[in-house]
Amino acid sequence: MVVTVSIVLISCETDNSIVVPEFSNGGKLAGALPLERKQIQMLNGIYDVIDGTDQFGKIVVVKQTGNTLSIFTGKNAGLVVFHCGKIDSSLIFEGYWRYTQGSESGLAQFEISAEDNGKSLLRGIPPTMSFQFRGVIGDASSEPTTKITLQYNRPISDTSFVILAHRGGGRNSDRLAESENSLGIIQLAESFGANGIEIDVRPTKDGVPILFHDENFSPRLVDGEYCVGPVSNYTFAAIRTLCTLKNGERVPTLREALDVVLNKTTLSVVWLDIKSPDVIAQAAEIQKEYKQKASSMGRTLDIYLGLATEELVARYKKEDLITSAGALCELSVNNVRDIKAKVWAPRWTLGPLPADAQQMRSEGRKTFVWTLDQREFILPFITGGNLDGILTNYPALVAFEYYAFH
Amino acid sequence: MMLLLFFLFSRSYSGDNRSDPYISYPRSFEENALHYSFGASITIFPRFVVEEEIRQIPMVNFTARYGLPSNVSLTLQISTVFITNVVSAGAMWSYRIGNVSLALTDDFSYWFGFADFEGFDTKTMGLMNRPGISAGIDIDAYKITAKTEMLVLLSQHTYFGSASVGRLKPEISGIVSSIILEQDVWKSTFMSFALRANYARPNYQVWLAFSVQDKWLLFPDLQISFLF
Repeated sequence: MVVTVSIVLISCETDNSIVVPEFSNGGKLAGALPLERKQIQMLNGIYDVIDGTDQFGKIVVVKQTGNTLSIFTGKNAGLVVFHCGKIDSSLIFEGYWRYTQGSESGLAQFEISAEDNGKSLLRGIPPTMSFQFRGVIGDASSEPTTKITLQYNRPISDTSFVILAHRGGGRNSDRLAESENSLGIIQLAESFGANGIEIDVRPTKDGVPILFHDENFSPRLVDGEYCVGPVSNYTFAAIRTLCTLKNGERVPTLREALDVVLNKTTLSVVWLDIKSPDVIAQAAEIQKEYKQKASSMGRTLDIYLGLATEELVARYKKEDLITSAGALCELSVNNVRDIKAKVWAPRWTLGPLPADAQQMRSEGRKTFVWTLDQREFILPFITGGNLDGILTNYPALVAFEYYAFH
Repeated sequence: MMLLLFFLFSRSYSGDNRSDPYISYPRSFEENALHYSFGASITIFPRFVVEEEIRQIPMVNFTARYGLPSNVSLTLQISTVFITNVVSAGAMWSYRIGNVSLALTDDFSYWFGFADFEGFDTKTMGLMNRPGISAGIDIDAYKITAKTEMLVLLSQHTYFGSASVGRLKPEISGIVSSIILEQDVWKSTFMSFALRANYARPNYQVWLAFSVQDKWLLFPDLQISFLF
């Protein structure tokens, strides 16, 4: 009985351990100059795996992701994220790998020597079919020694598909280095394979739009023993005083989040998942303000007010936002037309709806489906869904499937 | 519910002198003996799997055991919470050493779930094998049983709209350890209290979460039943 009760108690625990190792003393990159994005971008492509099929499968996608270079493996939803630099004419790539749906991770270190395409890549000459991208990976924080060789196969043909990272980049349960709906996770989203994010917006007691998914504060999302119960019972100042997100970050405001999107990422889509009718009007004002800021910066940034319920749609209409704000509607296509939403976002559990999605496209709207996390479920949508985007907790997996398929 | 009240009433006041009912306790049944139970169970889902998306609603359970020759019993269990349903059928072979009863069990479980409401056009089904072993002791009419089962997922199919995916690869998907108490609680009203620890990958109880967690998680489960 004691054993059983113990097991029951243990089951209430959550595992939020972080599985992102780092090189001690900054690794080789500590003495390197940063690479320019266009130099990193030249490595984009689909590669055959010569050494490392046990870890990465037969093919991988290599893609510049903001200031980082990522490898999407497909196998075990694997991901490698490199920071990039150069020492003389040698290119250095250091970072970590992990299976995003599991707990395995380790250090990763790749290099392109000056003689082996390093000089030519720095001069802007893209890799040829004979190019090999080589390196080593390790387990956890141990010295990486497992050899990986990737053979360039073909370029990535289409990068316009929208891959949206759920809750700014992923959920706490996926043991990421930053908490869900935090400023930090938004800055990581691109390296995970996303070019857009979905974030959850709800109001505090004093009406400040913040990023927070659940209706209630609980140990699932926050630390702080005095933050318990409905979020709407707390003023913004109280929230900032009483609790932090699971990795110690402050609960961000919507403005702070969009500032990060604009100034620290190259993300092109933001889906504001509106959690309360009481925050629609303010969110619409902020949406307008940041779209103007993006425009003045020469950025292409689509920000959508996500409406998931009849109640939200009714408030959206009541606030007379149809003509001024861009909405993303999760309800029926008739609702989408009724409020002139720019995006239709059906739940994936309805299955692929290619005819409806095609109809939306012909009406000048986009179709995003949510929230797709399993490889076997993702494929039918990519191959026959007529979609413009997918919302996922595992952007690396969708990125692999989409780029490899196309 | 009316049926349950009727059975309760009849058991409590009819003066029935049949042998004390039990189902999980691994002592053998007499040939053609039949006992059954009605009850409810609730599984505590790992919060970080279901978050705020799934409400925890008790499942209604019906269990029956029928005695065959050679210390063998047939077992049947039906559990439902409307969108999730499980039917299990199997056999139990009992053996007695002194005051301790032992049993080997094996069940096949077919589970299916469906969701056909706003945002869902989904159904899923799976087949599981559940080999197990149990040991029990009878102390002053308190029948205490400890049982351990292995969950072997044989196949699973999910349909979503016009698409479907499935797999036939058998894999061990969990281990269930239970402690069950069967006793007369009041005037020949017999009840069963079971506390289970399901140590498993996200299981049929949370199919609607479509979790991709590859970790084994603990799903505590409490079941209370009336025995007849």
